Amino acid sequence: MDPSGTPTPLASHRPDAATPAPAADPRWQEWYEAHAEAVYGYVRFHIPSPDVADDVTADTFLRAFRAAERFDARRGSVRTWLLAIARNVLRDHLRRARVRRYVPLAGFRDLAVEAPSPEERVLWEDQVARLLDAVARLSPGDRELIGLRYGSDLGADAIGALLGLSPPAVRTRLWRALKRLRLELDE
Amino acid sequence: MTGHKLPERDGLPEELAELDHLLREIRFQPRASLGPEIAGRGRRLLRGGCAFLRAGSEERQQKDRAEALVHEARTIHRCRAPEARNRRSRARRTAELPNEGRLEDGATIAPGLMTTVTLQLPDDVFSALRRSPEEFARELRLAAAIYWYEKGEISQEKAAAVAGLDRAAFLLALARERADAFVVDFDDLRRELGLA
Repeated sequence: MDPSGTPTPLASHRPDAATPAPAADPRWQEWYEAHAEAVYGYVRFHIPSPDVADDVTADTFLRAFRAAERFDARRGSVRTWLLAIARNVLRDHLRRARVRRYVPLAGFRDLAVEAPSPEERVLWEDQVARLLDAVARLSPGDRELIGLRYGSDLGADAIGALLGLSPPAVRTRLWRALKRLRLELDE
Repeated sequence: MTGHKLPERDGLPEELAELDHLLREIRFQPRASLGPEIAGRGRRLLRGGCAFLRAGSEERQQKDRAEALVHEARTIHRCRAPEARNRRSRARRTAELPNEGRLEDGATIAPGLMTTVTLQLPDDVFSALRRSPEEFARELRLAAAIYWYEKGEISQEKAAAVAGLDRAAFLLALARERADAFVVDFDDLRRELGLA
């Protein structure tokens, strides 16, 4: 209310001291449960540390929660939208931090392994470490494609929507990226 | 190995099939407690937003009260100049840098008057420091109070007010932070002891 008694445009949006905080959007939990692994998996293909990957995942979901009102299901799936946010958060993070370009063997507490024996786990971790180390040596474009495809379980259509490419172009680029990855592994 | 399934093979060339299969087997899982943590941070964000709006509303009310005091002082000034000047000056000082309405000489004009200072910080500052905005603000106030107090720019009483603490709690905080509780000017001390 201004001195003349006219309500200011924001007056109706200003809660008084007794106004309780609004309840959390019920979709939050649903989104997290359905897509946390996809977001985390994508991030993890780019970041060697599970702790930092946790932080980037958390920032992605917080940014999504704040922008929840802007999500439009007609424009794409929740997963594609979350991964578009994750890409931005990851880009911001990589810009700020000098991320180490190797995968520490001890950093696989987050790797899902069904193999029961410790020996098999060690072998699997070694194989994954070599793979991710090779992925880290690829160009950012190749790494992005591999992260989206294998880290987040996205198909060519969804990747194409995110990167502005047609599905056949995504497939072709992915094959090339895999070829380069195989060369890296052979070196 | 984990039964991780992708929807399609996209007609992948045979020579890349093994690598494709290997990559499909990799599955990472975020920390189990991450979901509840994010939900908690989301709720704090909402609360923070409301508190911000409330603070804006309170700031407006305080400004209105300060302006009313200035107006009253101006009205009185027309009749009794010296007292009114004092009151107007007090009201202005309270409006500019109020400390719960207390002036430096200890007089109280309008209890509860405070200035709200709004800081804009990127959200990732809080996650990097692993502190909520409330904890961050508390520590920021204490750090600023200790810094200015140690530099001798403000008195202990003012420093306690900046930190939002009473004097005893501020002394305890100084001890906790291993800061000197009494700022000594060594030149003064030398003069006092006759050593200069």
